[in-house]
Amino acid sequence: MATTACFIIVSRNDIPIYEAEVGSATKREDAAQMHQFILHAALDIVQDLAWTTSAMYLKAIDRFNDMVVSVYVTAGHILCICDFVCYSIKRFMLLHDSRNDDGIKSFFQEVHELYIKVNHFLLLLVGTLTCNMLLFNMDADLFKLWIFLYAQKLYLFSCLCQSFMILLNPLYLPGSRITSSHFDTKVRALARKYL
Amino acid sequence: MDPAKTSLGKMLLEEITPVVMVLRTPLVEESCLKNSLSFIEMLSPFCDFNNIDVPVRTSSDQPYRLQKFKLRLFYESDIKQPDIVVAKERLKQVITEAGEKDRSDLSTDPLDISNILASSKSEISPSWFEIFNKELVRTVSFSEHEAFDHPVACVSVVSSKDEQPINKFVDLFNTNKLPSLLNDGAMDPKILKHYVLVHDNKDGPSEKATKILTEMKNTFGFNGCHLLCINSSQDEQIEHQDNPWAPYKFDSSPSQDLGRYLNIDDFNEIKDLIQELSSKHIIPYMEQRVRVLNQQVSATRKGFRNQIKNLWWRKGKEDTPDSSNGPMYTYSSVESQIRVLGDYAFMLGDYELALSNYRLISTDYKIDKAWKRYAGVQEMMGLTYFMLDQSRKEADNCMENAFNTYLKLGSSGRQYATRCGLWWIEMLKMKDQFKEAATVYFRICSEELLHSAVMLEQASYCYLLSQPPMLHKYGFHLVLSGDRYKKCDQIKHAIRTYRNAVSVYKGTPWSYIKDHVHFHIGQCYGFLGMYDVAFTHMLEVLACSHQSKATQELFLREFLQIVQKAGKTFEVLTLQLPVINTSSLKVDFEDHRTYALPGSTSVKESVWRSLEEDMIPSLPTARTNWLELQSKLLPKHKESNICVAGEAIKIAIEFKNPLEIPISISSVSLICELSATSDETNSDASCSTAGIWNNEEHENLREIISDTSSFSLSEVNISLGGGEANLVQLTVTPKVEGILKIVGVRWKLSGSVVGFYSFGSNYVKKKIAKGRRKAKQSPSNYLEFIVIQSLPKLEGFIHALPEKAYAGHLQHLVLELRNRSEVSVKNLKMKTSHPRFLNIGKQEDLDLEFPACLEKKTNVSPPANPKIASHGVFLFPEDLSVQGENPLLWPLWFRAAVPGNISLQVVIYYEMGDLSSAMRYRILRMHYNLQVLPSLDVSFKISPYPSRLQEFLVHMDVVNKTNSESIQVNQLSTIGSHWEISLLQPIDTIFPSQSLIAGQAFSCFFVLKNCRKSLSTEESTSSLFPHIGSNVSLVPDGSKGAPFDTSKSPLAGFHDYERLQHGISNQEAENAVDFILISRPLKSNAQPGVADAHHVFSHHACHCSTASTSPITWVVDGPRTRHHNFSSSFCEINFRMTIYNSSNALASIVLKTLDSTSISDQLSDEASGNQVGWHDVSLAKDSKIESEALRNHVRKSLLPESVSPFIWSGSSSTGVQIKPLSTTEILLQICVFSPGTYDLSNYVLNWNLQPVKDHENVGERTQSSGTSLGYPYYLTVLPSD
Repeated sequence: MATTACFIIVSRNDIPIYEAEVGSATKREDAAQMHQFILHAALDIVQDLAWTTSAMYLKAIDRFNDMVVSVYVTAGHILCICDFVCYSIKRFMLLHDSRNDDGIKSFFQEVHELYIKVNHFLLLLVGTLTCNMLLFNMDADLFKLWIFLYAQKLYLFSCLCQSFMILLNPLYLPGSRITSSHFDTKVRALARKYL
Repeated sequence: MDPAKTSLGKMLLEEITPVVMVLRTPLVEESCLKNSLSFIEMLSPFCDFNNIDVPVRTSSDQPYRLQKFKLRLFYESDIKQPDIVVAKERLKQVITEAGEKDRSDLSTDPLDISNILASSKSEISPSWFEIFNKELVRTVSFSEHEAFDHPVACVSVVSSKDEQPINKFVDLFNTNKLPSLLNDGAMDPKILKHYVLVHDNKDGPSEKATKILTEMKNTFGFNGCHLLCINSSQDEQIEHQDNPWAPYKFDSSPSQDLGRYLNIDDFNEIKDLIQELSSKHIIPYMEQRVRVLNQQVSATRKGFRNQIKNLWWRKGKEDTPDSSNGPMYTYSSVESQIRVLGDYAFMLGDYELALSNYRLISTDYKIDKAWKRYAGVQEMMGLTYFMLDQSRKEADNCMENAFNTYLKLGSSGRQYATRCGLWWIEMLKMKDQFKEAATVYFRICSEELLHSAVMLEQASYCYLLSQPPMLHKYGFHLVLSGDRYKKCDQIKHAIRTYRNAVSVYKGTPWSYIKDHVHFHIGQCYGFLGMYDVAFTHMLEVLACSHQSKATQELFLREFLQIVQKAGKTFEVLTLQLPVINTSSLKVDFEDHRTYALPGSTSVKESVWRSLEEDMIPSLPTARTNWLELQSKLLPKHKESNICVAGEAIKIAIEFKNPLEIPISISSVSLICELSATSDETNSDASCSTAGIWNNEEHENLREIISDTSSFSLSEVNISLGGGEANLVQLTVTPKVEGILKIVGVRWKLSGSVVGFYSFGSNYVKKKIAKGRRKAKQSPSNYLEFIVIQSLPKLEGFIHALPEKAYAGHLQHLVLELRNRSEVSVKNLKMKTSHPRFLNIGKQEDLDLEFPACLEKKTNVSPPANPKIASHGVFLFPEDLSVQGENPLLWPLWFRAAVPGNISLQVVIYYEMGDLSSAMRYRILRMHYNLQVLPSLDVSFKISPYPSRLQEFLVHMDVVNKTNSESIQVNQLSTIGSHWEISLLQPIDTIFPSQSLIAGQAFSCFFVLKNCRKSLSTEESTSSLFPHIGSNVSLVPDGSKGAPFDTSKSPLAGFHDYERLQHGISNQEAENAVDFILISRPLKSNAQPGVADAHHVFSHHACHCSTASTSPITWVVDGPRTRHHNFSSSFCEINFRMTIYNSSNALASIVLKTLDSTSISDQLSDEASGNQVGWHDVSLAKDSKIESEALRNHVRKSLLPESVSPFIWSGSSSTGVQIKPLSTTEILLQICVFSPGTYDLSNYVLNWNLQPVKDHENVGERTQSSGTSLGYPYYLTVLPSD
């Protein structure tokens, strides 16, 4: 069965930073603009809903004819105490005509993981280091030691992350467009898997 | 809030009112038409009572007073379901009219979204929606399942002119004319009847009419008859102030005509008639019906027993076939009666009664599966709940229920669903539930585009009005609606919706959305012929690189169509096609540095600087001249660039096509501003404001463009393929002095749209951003030039400089210098970066015929010293000046010295002839790239000639390293007058083919003779002719003429540079020899074996050392064979040893003769020494080991094994002193005692150099003493008889 699905990541100020047509249906000429319109219109509903629920996955919040919009709102309001970098709220929006809820949910989670691992790892590291230095007013030796320990701890994590590192440009600025082709292929693969 | 006061309440009170059927004769209509009104239209204004104040008593005993009441009058023919097609046409007409009326200026910019939000509700949605909705509701009136549209009364009207009026009244009730509702039993045919006689006062007095009236009263009863006299106004037309008929007349006839014959009496008469009809007949009739029906219903259906009975009875009916409308209910059935009861009660304002009946009937219909009726009743229940203003939830549920049920019916219920939806929406709106209302609007949308367009537009306004406003949805529905309007050719509506959408989506990063909105609104404006607005919208979609190729084509085509239709050229400040890459901006200009070729600027400035270092006048002098002059002239612009009037400034900038389709760009040119120095401050001010105000900037640009008198611009046309980027070269040539500012660039897209791009605006922004940091040189300065008065400028060109050459390639070139201005330039200097490659010739070389000039001439004149100043700067003759049309030609010699890629720079310095000019000097920079391929690889090896004094063997190895060329080796020359070279063997024997094909190697031996006698005698000549040497021709004598002269300018000059390259001073080193090998490539194609006369290669090998380790050479001279009669005596043989001191030091030499041992020993010694041939006999450098070995050798030879066959006579040790570079002779004698062959090598020369003070620094020779063994010298002594 041919499915239609359009996946968009929307950052603050409703700017789309990533778009992909991930459906298996043959592409119609005006499909892209239609999907944008529907998803854009659904932002109103997301805005209303996002602050009333703690759930990240908002399923089928809006529909247009037989198209359904499901949204995954990243935990924007959860702030790490030793993190300077305020996460901006990202909304992963999927326009789909399938009813496979579990699949959609898994898709969102995987994409989110993919996104956040890469995007925030560096920020987290930098943010934590700076924060510690300022907060605890460490002297240089202690700081070095701490970095050493911390780096060791992080080493395992970074090994895990390394495969993801290539997916995105590490110099990626939150809020700018995601242009990495690796990310794109990965997302499409996930879409094939779950949708 | 009183529900009756709300808009829905008002609507209901108008729409759900008793219907009066009007039957009339044609003559009645005729009389009325004199007033441009139909009969019904004439009555309509009086049917609406806002304060009728009639007491009504329905089911309860308590009467109440009815205030608002309305009658709806319809002709009998109109009492039927309107035809769908007609209804659609009607609706379309309404929409179109609304579009036509909507004269709000379409061309204005869309409002800002915040302004829209601030405006009040009534302003937001257009007023014609109400009319449209009313019309939409009316399309479904007179359904048989609803009783409120069924006529309550019937009015028959007959004119007094009619013949037999009484019969006419009866005829009017002829059943076949009556509406089907009455005939097919959907409603009770026994309705209230009323008889009206119309008398037209114009036709005469009313006596006849009164007579007929009495007749009528007799026939039809006293109460139901009326006389209505109209057109009482006799002659004059009556002007009705505030014409009461106008709102009821939909056609656009002039309102003055309406009711022109109706005077105040008629007016009152009509009013009285309707008033009486309503209050005396219809309302009492309805009251009565309600009471009667209520009684019946109570009897049959109210109470527990009746309900049980009803249920049981209905259960039994379940077997009936399930038709879509459920069972047919006639007027006499209980269900119909209940419905009529409910509707009458509703119309009379007794909502409680109505509701209870509706409830009752709704369950019945549901059980009967009469869905349409069920939905109708549910709808009415909802409305009743609303009018009662209680239980909103119930009302909502009922409406939703009704709506869904109608929808379930399929196409037949669609229109009812629409009506129901509209009422529901009104209800929701009353409760401020705009979001829900919008969804209902969306659900109303049918397949029919026009309806859904209107509905979607209304939905969008609902989203806007909801709290908080849902702007995304608002925009989306506007677009949906606009799209549908456009498809239905309702362009004005489409524009309205899209314009509102534009205000929502202004500056959105959602690219597809932006494109869609702007493209469609642009198209709509295009349809209306408002090309300017269309154009501005179309501009927005041009940079649509994310779209598919087909879409891009579509966008561009539409854009160009609009431009074409507009029929003018647009000027756009923000044309996004093509994209200009600002970072690619590159400016080439010439101040005192001028460039001969465009590529010259690619060379780093530092390279040029280092070349020019020695030529340009030192800084202080320069400052006193032109720099200071300028600083006085333009105190503010010290950092500015300087350019010269009449000379072009080149700008290179990249244009990139973001689309996949090719675009053509024409007339690309710069926008420049040249202001005279005086109003410099003004232009500065205008420039700073330009960045801020866009429009102003535009105006500025226009102004600037129009003023092109003081400079000339180049225009370029390019066409960019899909995704292509192109670097465009533009030039501006100022004509007068002043300050030139390059403001931006302009171009024409597809020949009709002019785009501008201002370099400055970006820079200004940057500058502001940087703030106080105070950049040293702001980028705008970069595009600002001080134009100084026209100066002479040299143009230089080297003719025929090859781009590719083989190493050694020698060529005669001509440098052409041209000065186009009238002012002469003088004091020319020139320098090349690679003197090995490019040598400056003498003026007289200009006309030389190459390569004949290389050949040796008979009359050798001493070469004039070229004027080469220090550091290789060539000074042209001082009297030389270049001016006007005569170019200066100067010969150059080119020789490809080493293989590789060479970047060759030539710098020519010149000074202005006119001292008053702003610049004193300029520099011409020329740059050439050339590739040098390897050709012949020549190596020389020199060893002393054994047993010859001052002679050497030269081993020359030549390898042809070219890929395909065959090269003929012509001549080998030595440099220096004291060298003589000759072939060891005839060339024919060693080198018969005379040419080397690619890859071939060849070795050749020469004898080199040093014929220098002493330093002192030859000194003068050698300095005079430093390059005179000897040549040996390597070709057979007959084949070529004169040998090449290596002592003359090109070869000699290059040779000097070769030597310099090797770090050797021009001074002669006594033991080194330089070779020049001259070869010629063979013409590969035509005649093999014939050398190309125009190509000469020269290969220079410098400083090939001739010297051995020993400075001392000697030769033993004497007889080789001797006949002697040994019987008489032993034989005495004399030898002469000539010793030569090749060092510069005084040498003291001790010759020691040793009495030899055996011959065999000597010979074996020779063999073990591996001393064969002409190799260097005096051995390794290490004197210590050498002497050790020597001692062994000597000791060995001293061993007295046998008697030596000969002995040295005379002293065993002779000492001499030899002056530098001189010879001495020692006489030697041996005594031979028996015949045989003897080797006279058993002697040793010990030499010791005494360094001469003033030559100390010259030699590299550090060895100051040593020992040399004797050469083998074989002497054969034969016994003579």
